[in-house]
Amino acid sequence: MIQPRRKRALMGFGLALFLVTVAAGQDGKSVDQSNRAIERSSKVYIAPIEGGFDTFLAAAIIKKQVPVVVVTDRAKAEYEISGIANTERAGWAKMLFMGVDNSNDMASIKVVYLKGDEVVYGYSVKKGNSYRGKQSAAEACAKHLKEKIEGK
Amino acid sequence: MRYMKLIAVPLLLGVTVYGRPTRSQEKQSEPTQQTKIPAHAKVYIAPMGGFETPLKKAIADKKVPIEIVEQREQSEYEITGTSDSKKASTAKKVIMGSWHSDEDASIKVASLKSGEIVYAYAVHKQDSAHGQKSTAEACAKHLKDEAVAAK
Repeated sequence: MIQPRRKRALMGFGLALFLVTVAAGQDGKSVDQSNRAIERSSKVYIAPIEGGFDTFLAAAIIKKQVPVVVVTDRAKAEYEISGIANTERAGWAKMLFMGVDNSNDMASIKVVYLKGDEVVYGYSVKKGNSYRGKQSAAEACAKHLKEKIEGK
Repeated sequence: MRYMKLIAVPLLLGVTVYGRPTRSQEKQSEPTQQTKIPAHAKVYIAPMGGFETPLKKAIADKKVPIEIVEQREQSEYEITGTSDSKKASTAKKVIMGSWHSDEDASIKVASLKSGEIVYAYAVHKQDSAHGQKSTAEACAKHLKDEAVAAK
């Protein structure tokens, strides 16, 4: 027979494990700023992002088959993607204690509907110990953008 | 035994609800702007901070069936992109025993007539023995295999 006090402690521990499992599965956060949906085959312009991340994002959009058309002229676009990206190289301590030299990559994008001047989607991602660097972060952004467009 | 269930059940619930099972088949999405570049199309390679030189050589070495032109006005397509080389630090040389650089490169091909990006590719080479040459050749190879129509 389990004592009530011990039973409560164990239930609390079980709940904590559940919450940790949930938290561990998430490495990115998306935010819907408005109810406006991004239509399929919309024309999207990717603004220059420091470090050339815009090119990685264009490649990721094509690789992940995001149903949009990327254009090079902002005047022809219906939506604009802008954002920031940052890469942190592995330091000596990480190499020594973890045995890896993969970088930590962070990126954040927002999608703006140009005619209405409203933010329709935003996404941030942090890839700790990323093997492919900016490519990984860009593909995460593209994947979640696709899910937004497909209504998932 | 009973108290083990109190731990196992919430743990299993968390894993099954938020776990991401692998999919054996991906849902087919609508095609995007994946129109092929015609063979022998005139392509201009924009300056990319020095990466354009190994890229031009790689396109020639990999026999990509496009014609590189020096004037943007004469071209039908334009390749732009970015490249980043991270030389091995002292810590990497001492601790990891590797002096090779890490290379990142990404290119996009835009149609000058329609203004649409018809192809884009990104590559990451960890511990690249040949530096930018490796990433340039990867870009050229995928350009040939995926973007350019067969002759």
